Amino acid sequence: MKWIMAGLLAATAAGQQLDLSILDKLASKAKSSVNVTLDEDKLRFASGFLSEGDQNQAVAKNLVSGLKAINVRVFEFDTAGQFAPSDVDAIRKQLQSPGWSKIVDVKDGAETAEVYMFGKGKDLGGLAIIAGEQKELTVVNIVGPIDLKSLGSLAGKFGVPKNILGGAVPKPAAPPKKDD
Amino acid sequence: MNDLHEELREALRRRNPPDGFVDRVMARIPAKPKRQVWNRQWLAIAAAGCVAVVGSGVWEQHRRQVEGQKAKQELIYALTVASESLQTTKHVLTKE
Repeated sequence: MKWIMAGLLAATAAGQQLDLSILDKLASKAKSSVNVTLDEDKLRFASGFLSEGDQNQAVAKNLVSGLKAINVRVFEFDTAGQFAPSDVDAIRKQLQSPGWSKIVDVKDGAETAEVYMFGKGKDLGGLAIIAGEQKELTVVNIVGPIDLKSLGSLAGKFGVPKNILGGAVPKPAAPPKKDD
Repeated sequence: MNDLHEELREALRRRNPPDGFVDRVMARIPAKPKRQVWNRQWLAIAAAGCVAVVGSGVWEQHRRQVEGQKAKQELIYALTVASESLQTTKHVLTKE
C-alpha cells in the first residue's frame, strides 16, 4: 500500500512538474537570461542555509518546506518582438493536462500574465506563472503545496532589485537533464 | 683504633670481579630497541594522515558552505521572481 501511495504521489508531482527546457532556445536571442532549477534535494539543502532569525528567511523556509521543485526562467531582450506568444505555447499545452486550471489570464497592452494552479484550495499542489512584457518573459513553475499569501508577501523583501535581471542575480544553473 | 683502621682497609680493598661478571652484567642489559626509527616513521605517517583527514574535512565543510550559500541565493531569487510575478499579476488585475 505504501508503494502504491508513493507511486501515486510521484505521478502527481510529475504532473505538476513542467518541462521548461523548451524555452532555453530563447536564451540565444536574449540580452540576458536566468535559469534557476531547484529540485527537492536542492531545495532542502538551500533552505538549510536560511536563517530562522531573519523574519523573511523564516517565511521562505516555511514556504519551501513541503515543495518538490521550483523552476524559473527569465529572459530579457534588447528589443520588443524577439519572442512570440507561440514560444510559450508548448508550456501552455503542458498546462492543459489534468489537474491544472487557469485562474488568471490578463492582458494590459504588451503586458500579459497567466497564472495556473494545480489542484484547488487546501489541495493546491502546484503553481505556474507566465508573465510577458515587450522585452521580458518570465516563467515560474512551483511544484508542491504552496501558500500564495506567504509567497506574495515576499515580494521585494530580499533586496533583489525590481529589475531582476539588473545585477544581483545568481549564476544560471545548468539546465535539467532530459532523463530526469 | 689501629684495628678499626685495618678492618676498613681490608673491607675497602680493591678486588677484581669474578670471572664472567662483565658478561653476565651485559647479558642482563636489555638490547637497544632497533625499531625506534621505524616507529618514528609511522608516527610521521600517522600525523600526516591526521592532517590530511582534518584538512579534507575542513575543505569539505568550506565547499558545502559555499554551495549552500549559492543554493540559498538561487532559492531567494526564485522566490522573489515568483512573488514579483504574482504581484505584477495582481497589479494588472487591479488596473483592469
